[in-house]
Amino acid sequence: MSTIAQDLARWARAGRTVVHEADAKALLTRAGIPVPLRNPLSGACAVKLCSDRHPHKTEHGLVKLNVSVSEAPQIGSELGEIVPDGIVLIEAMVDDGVAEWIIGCRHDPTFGPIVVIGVGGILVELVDEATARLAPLDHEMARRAIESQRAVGLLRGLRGKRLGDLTALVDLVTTVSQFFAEHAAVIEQIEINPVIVRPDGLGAVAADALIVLRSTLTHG
Amino acid sequence: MRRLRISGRQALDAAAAPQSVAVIGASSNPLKLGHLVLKTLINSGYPGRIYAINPTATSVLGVVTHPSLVSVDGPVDVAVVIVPASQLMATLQECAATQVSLVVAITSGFAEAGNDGQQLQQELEAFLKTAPFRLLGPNCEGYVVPASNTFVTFSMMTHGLRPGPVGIVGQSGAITGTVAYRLRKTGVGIRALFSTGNETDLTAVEALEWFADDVETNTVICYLEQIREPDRFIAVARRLRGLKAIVVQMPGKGEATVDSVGTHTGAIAGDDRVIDGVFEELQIVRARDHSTAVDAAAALSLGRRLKGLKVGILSVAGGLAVEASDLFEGGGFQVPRFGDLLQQRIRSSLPYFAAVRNPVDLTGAAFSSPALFRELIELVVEGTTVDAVVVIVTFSQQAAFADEIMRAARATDKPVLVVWTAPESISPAPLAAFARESFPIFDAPLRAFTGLCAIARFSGLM
Repeated sequence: MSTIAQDLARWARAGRTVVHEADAKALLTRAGIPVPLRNPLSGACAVKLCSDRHPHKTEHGLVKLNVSVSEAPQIGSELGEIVPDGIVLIEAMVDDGVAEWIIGCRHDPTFGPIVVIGVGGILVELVDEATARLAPLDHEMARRAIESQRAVGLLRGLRGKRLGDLTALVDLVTTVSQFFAEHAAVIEQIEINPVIVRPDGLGAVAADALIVLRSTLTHG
Repeated sequence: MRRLRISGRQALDAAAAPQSVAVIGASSNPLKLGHLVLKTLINSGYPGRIYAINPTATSVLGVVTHPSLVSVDGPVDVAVVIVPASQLMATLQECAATQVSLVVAITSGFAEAGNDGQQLQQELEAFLKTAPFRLLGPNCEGYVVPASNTFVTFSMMTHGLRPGPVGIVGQSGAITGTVAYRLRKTGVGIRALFSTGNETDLTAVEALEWFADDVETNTVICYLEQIREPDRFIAVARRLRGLKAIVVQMPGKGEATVDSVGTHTGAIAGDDRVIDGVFEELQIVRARDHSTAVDAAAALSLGRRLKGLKVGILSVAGGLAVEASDLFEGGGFQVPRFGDLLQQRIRSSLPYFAAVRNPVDLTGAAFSSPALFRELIELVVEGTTVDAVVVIVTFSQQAAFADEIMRAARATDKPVLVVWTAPESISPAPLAAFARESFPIFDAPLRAFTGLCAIARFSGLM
């Protein structure tokens, strides 16, 4: 089996820029980043059609949520007709999220590889709060960055809501930042939006993910 | 045999206390920079040897001139160059043939001056890669080290700078000069000022590294339009985090990052927010303008850290106490009500109408006893009631007030910031006493607030 670095290098050589959600998640899983269960045997599913040409799936109607396990394959093949070269991704719905975060990685022209931590999901348009840090981050720095945000209140039982798994969010930020720093020569950007933070003790998962590779033409 | 190229640190070490300085392009025309540089050096009381280089004159400002650097008989540590841009390369060839450690190129007309200047700068950069000496500039205002009376600059803003613990480095000579002037107005002295100009060789980051290793320096102010060696900058900032304070004035463009894929990562954190985040991580104080940078550095020069955000305020005037309390409470600090016992102890030294809860209004009674300030500061810093003290004085003619306050400030590891609203003309003796000790004075509560915020950032609390 090839290593993560080999896969990334092979994709870059093939001229791939956008790495769609299914491939991005497979790679992130190998790096230790939790993602929703793929091809579940029961429960509600999310069905997505993944293609490098359509990084924004929702805008193209390529995402169907809360689909039953029995209907999922049929819906997958219907989506496949819209984008014939796409890959169908069927995942278990994460329905116990306490809050959503966005974790982004990119290259700053001055400071190099950075991580951006912000409130995600629908709040991203509303809450203008994002914290940038140098990649990689250790657990302490990641925790301090998240705790410096007002939005951390969402994980602390705001108005009787359940506590969110802050530790799992810290772990995820740390792991993503280390993964990015390690492969920053080939990766231009990573965006995990949203990270669904589940109740305390139940973890946090990357519900959507995108990797953008550095163009081999411009970066040699 | 060609000399080996020296390190930036060796060059700056030599420049900090040079045995001799050569002014290449010294001029008798008082309107020329070559005149001002020589005059500034002479007037600063520089104790080493001064060589004036001028191929046509026989003496300038009473200094016998030499036709060229190579005709000088003794070793030269620093050469400051004020010649037209077109002659700089020839001058540098000469410097390479001597033992010069640092060349200060005040000459302008390079990258900042169109296509011709760009080309000259490229030639210069190519030459400097292997030059035995190191170069500051070109297009810079020079450097200053007050402790050794070395003022190698034409900037009159540096006039009267005293030795102290603050390092200043910047890519804009106008800003470093203004920073130095304002810092002097707060009473704080400087370790050195380096104007790096176009940074064809030595960069602001290398100067920062020099300050990092210098035991006399406890705070560095940087004006950076761009960071040319970000990895080195990050490395030195990490090394100094929480140990030696760094204040950076760095403009952000406030732009979201251009992103072809249309992700949120660039949109929610543009370059300005990245600077904020990275500085927060590195516990660097970010200043939006040079006067904020000065207030931050003045407070940080005390060499104190904060363990928490509780502030005690001791004021001779009720109005200023309220103003300060409002600023600190509104800006993330607490001004906690003192406990009953502490209030009683404060009360016993003050008239019955004084306010003792915090903020403390000492009333005019304070002016009758310089020692009262020290006693009250000592009372308040005891235990864990507060993490910092702000002392507010309007005016006084007696140096004893300054001495007592400084005594109390030195005896505690908590920051004691002094607001003194009267100007020098009304309070000459106390303000001179503070300045002699390089003790910072803020002329308004807002400036002390800016300073305490900086100490909080340095301490990892903001």
